This record gives sequence, structure tokens and C-alpha cells, in this order.
Amino acid sequence: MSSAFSPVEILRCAACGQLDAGPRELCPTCHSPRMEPVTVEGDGVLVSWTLVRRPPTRFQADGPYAVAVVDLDCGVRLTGRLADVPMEEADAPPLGARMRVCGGGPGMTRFAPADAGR
Amino acid sequence: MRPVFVAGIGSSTFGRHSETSIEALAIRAADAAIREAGLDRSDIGALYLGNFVAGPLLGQEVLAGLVADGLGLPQIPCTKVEGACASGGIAFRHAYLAVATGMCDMALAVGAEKMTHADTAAVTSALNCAMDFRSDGVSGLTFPGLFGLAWRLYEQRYGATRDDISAVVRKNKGNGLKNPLAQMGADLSTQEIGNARLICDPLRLYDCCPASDGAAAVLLVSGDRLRDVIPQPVQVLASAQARGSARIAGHPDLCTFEATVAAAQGAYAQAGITADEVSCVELHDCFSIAEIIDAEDLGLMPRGAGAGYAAEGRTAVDGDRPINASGGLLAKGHPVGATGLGQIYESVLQLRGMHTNQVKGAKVALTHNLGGTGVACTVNILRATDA
Repeated sequence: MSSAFSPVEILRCAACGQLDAGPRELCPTCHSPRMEPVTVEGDGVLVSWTLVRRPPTRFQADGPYAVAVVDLDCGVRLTGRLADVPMEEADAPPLGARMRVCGGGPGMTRFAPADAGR
Repeated sequence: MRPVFVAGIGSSTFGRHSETSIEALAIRAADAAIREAGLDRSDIGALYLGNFVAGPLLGQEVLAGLVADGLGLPQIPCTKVEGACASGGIAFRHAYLAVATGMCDMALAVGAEKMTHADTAAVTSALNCAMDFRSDGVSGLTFPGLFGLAWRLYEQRYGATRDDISAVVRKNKGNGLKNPLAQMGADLSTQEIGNARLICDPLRLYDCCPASDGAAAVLLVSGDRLRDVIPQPVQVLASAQARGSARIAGHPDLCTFEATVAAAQGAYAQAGITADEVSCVELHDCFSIAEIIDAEDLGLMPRGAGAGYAAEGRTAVDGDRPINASGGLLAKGHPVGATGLGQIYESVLQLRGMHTNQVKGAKVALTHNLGGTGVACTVNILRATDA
């Protein structure tokens, strides 16, 4: 396992410590308004993915693209995209594979297999 | 709360209505419901209209008032409700509450949608208004995508195969062939379904419901109006609504919708029955995998068993758990705001014993209407009254 840091910014409740992918005005656990940005390590596990072949108008130029759901090791679930679009099933990382954030912005996090290019 | 009954129903066919306006579709369906009941429309005390995408696709709002005007209703409160694909079910529940609470003795629920004039990208965009655009929506996730994610996890967890899930498509498409209101009934082989073009992996063409135009309406009345009602009345035993997370991260799991689970528990408690007492079900099969997840969420079968039930014929019209005898959204079509009321229409026909795909001896019917990423759900339970 590489120790390279792959940061991703999420929210942490200053009152109770609850982490959340955000954006969110109130803590989902204690309802405190003190949700503050925090940087966590972007390593996790692939929960599922799908290949969007028929995008809606605003994402037309991106298609086809693969949307993925990843559970970060800190316990937060993120929706984002696979960095490499698997046009064949065999090209995709299996469910449960170790993944790592490799760029993108808020809500559009990009994920790649943690061992990619090593 | 006092008992509420369905006095009349009306519906357009679901499919392409290029030459008919959404107002005309809604007014004709509602007029048919009023005429069938044989009651005076000037006694209707409230109208609720379910619609989701007339704003983005037609540039037309205030449909509730427009439809009431066309129907010649008095100056009653007319309200449009929106809960994505559950809009029709929510309209039904509000009409139910208006009568159950004694606010009025007669209430009209109408659902209407026009979609087929728009191209696929525009329809997908309009439906995507039900995404949370501060969260999952930013990634480009679509509704087929949401169910593609669920399918992949479901098949890995429970070992369901492509052919198992195709059994849902075969059944619903086959049921649709015999429903005169259905848009896309078909006799499809497992091979045709499994080889159709990919839409959103692993969803293929026939796993997805079509875009549709259509309207459906239901007239609800209190018990003291029943003596004047022409058709055999059907009692509304329960009408429950629950919310779920708008975000994937907020769901406990990709293979369940907590809004369905909560609404179902509420409806069973309200009706005082269990899932075993339900004779027939119309549920929200916007995608083939959705029927399996919904049926499990409704407690109709154990977790992981849904695909097997379809493959074994247990959810067929003559099975022990009949689901979507109408053809469901997959075959009947999905004019989103009308769908929840179309489900009531089909269920009332079943309980009157007059459905073209009649479930033998149907006494209790359940409808399930799910909106967005599981952000809104309604579950209704209806019971036949003795003629």
C-alpha cells in the first residue's frame, strides 16, 4: 500500500465530529450549524459503478462517462467518476477494489484504482 | 379520519399523444372519472394535480387551475403537487386526506404528463431536475445510472443473473400486450432482452421504461355519498407517504429505498394488514431492477429473492405474488406525473373484477409510487367492497 497522500475536502461538524460529504448547512447527527471544511485521505473501496451512455443535455460533451460510488476509509460515501472509462466490463475495477481520489472538484471527484501506475 | 372510497376512475392510454395538449388529456381523464361516478361536479370540494416536468418540457404551470377551469368546477382550492415520479401518488394522498379529514365530501386527484415531443437528452435533463444538484447531480449521475449502480451491487451480493432480471421484463412486457392502455407491450425472448443495446451499464434498452404522454384521474368520496355512486366502490384502506434521502450517501444501502420501507410500514399499519394479505400489486418498475428492489422493500419477498420470484413465475398474473399485471411502467409507460394515479386506476379495475389481466379473486390491492432518488414515496392499499 502506497502512503502517497490523496487529499479530498469534505465537512466535519465542529460540535460532534460527524463527517459528511457535503454541502450541508446543519450536521445530520446533532443539527449544529458548525460544519467546517476538513481534508481527509481520499482512499477507499469501490461500492459500485455504471456507464452513462446517454447523458442529459448539460453533460452531453462528457459522454460516455462512468459514475462511481466509493466508501472512503473515514466512513464517508462519495459519488464521483472513474478516471478511466471502462467501455468493456473487463476493463473496470471489481466491486470492493481499493480506490484513490485522483483529482476532480467538489461533487465531481475522480477515482482510480489505488495500485494504478505502480 | 373517516372512510374514503373511490367513486370513479378515468384514464387516457399511455403513449404518444402528439396532437393533444396536456390540459386536454387531464380534463378528459378527470371528466371520465366524474361521469363514471354519476355524481354532480359542483359538489367537488378540492382538486389535487400531480405533474413533474410540464415546466421544463412545456413551459406550462398552474395546471391544477387550468384543468379545474376546463372541467367547470366551482371556485375550490386547486393545488399542483410535485414529488418527481411520485407526484401522482402524492396528489392521490392529498385528495384522500381532504375527504378523510372531513374538509370536503368529494375530492378529485388528477395526474398528467407530456414527454414524447421532446428528445431523449431533453427528457433526461427534465427528469434529472429530481437529482440533488449540490450533490450527486454534479457527477452527471442520471436515473438510469442510479439503478445501474444498484443492479451491479445487487447481482454481486445476491448472485442474480442477467436472465433472472430479464424475467421481470418478459413478464411486464407480456402483461402489457393485454392492457389496452399500455404503450409498449411485447413478446420478448430472454435473448432479445439480454442482447438489446446498452443504455447505462448494465441496463439495456428493455430494462428502461419509455417516455410517455398520458393522464389518469380518480374521484374520491366519503361514505355518505356512496348511495349515489354508480360503479362498485373501492375503499381506500391506507394512504401513506414517506421521504428518503435525496443523496446516495444518505441511503443505508444502494439496494433499498428507505422511503419505500417507511411508507409500506405506515400503510400496512394503517390498513391493519400484512403483505401476505395483498392480492395484487402495482409498483414503480421504472427499471427492471427497480421492480425487484421495490418488491423486497415492500416486504413482498425476502431480500435477494426478487429476481428468483420473477424467474419462477411467482409474480405473474396467476402467480402467488402478482406484480404489475398492467404491464407496469416498463410496458404500460411512464407519463411521470400520471403514473401514481394510473396505478390506482389499474388496481380499482382489479378490485372490480374487470381487468383485462384479472388476478383471480383480487380483494386487496397495493400501489407503490417512488420519486427521485427515493426522496418521496407513496404506498396505498385499496379493498374491494361487496357489490
